[in-house]
Amino acid sequence: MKIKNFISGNKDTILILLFAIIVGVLPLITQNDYYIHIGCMIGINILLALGMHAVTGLAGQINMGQYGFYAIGAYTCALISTKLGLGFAPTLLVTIVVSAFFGIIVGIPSLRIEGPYLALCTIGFAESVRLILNSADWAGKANGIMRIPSLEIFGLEMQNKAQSFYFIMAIVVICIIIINNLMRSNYGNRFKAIKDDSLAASVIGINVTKVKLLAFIISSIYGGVAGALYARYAGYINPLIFIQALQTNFMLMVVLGGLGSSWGAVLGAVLVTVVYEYTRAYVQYQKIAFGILMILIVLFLQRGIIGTVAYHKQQKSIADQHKPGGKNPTTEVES
Amino acid sequence: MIFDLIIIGLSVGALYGLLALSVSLIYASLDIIHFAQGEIFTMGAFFGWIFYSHNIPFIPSLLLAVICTSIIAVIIQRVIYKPILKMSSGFSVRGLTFIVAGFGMSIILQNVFWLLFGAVSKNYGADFGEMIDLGNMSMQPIYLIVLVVATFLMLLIHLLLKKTKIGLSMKAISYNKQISSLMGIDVDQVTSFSFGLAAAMSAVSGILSAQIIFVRFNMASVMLLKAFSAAVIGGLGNVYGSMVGGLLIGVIETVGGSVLGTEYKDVISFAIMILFLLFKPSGLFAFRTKQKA
Repeated sequence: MKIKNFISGNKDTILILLFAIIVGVLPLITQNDYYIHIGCMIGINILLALGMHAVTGLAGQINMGQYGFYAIGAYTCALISTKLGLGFAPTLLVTIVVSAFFGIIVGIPSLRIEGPYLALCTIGFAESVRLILNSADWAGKANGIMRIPSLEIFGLEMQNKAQSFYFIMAIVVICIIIINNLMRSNYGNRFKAIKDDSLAASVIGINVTKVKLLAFIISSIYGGVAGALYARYAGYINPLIFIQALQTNFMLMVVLGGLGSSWGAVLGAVLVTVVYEYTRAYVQYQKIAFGILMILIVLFLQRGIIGTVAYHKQQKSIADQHKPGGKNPTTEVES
Repeated sequence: MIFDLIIIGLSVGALYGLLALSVSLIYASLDIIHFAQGEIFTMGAFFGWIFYSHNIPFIPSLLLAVICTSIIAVIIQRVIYKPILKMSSGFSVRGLTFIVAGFGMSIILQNVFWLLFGAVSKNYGADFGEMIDLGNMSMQPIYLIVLVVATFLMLLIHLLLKKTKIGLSMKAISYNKQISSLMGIDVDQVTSFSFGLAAAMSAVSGILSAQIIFVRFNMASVMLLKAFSAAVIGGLGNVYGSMVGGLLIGVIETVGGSVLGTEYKDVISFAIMILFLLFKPSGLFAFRTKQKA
């Protein structure tokens, strides 16, 4: 058991190192600010997709209100930075606390309802957030908040896009490590138990209330951190950024990569963001293509990319096991 | 003051109610919450606009638009939704399959409308006669027309469910598909009929809404969520409850909007929906919905 954990941990370590190397090299290859901007958006979207992954992929609670958390994070960060003039580190802390609070509020309905009902509830929440921000005086109404100071840490300001990119990606790598460790921990198993059957999970002594709320808190914190990074990175936010169409993208990221796999969420976020940013000029065709892709995934690729690869590997190892004279597989393949 | 707010609230609520009715019909017959119903609503409004701008009178163009929308909706249901519902496997998260498919369908249709009709709002420019004088205030006749049409449609649906064979089959398949099929009901046909009927209700709601707001590819975005609120209040799957829920939402948000400020009227109806989902998920009129929830 120890060895198995070590090996699967090793695989994640290798992937994280690979990810960090790609991230480190990218701004050196290209000096084009546009590509680096896409890189920054990929980082922010990875955080949002990981939040969706935690609550929907791992704990099985359908959250269609991730863009609400994103908006809350962005506005909290922007208001604190502009009104109080705090640095990024304390701002991020406050953002995390505020997001976690809203995560608990949105998590409470999940204790009583599930499935499509929960989806309705979370959409209602996120849409209310957007409408309130759109009409509240303290949030600048439809004009949003302008002149948000750029990203900085302990007085070290990120002056250009490449530096912002490194900063965002550093946080992304930390968040990926956190979620991978959480998945391997006891809590990961509790999430999976609740996803399969919350009643059975409660029978074997899992505190369903605590775990469901925790899933929503993780999701909201990831969304909030992404929002804070976006607000500081872009320097200007308005309610039109946080629309329901974003949620369709987040959903697509999670189901494209593979539900229940954090690297699937990362892969989905990268693919969707690259396509989204590159085809901005043809937005209608792009949305139609995304919609068709979603229906095709429902019909033919329910496991997503990573899930399908893992499934075929698993099937192959089972076939090997049953072959006469075949050796036992030494590593277990995660599904 | 309160009287005219209630009249306007009732007629806006009747529009929500018609859309909520179609959401409920689909929930009862297909066991899904259809997130693309708002686009069916928009489709109806666009078809009506096409026919009306080709100099066809209002009532024939409404009927033509309703028929066209229903046919397209049934095609969508047969070609895309039927295979998804027949599938044995699905996502590892319960209920996610149809949410993803519904949202996919919704963005496909919405952007097809955008491509076909552009982003500019369309106006029917239909004339329904003089303002109606109600003592100390006057109101547009369209609000009364909406109420009359909604009452008429409710009556039709009531007769359909109570007096005809197909209405009985609809009730049967909403109870249990396997047993109905054993009793000799053609489940596929009845499901398609329900879907088409729901599309027709949405189309009527869309065309009448288009007389109050403008026709635009995203006109349904807020409307659909309010229809869901209405359906939840009445109890999803309960057609009468949905209409009552729609009227309630309409009145509450109109009166509440005038008290708290109109920019918060959408938030009021979403808050009501969330509270209902939290404390009374079966709706005001608990009607066999417990098994479905």
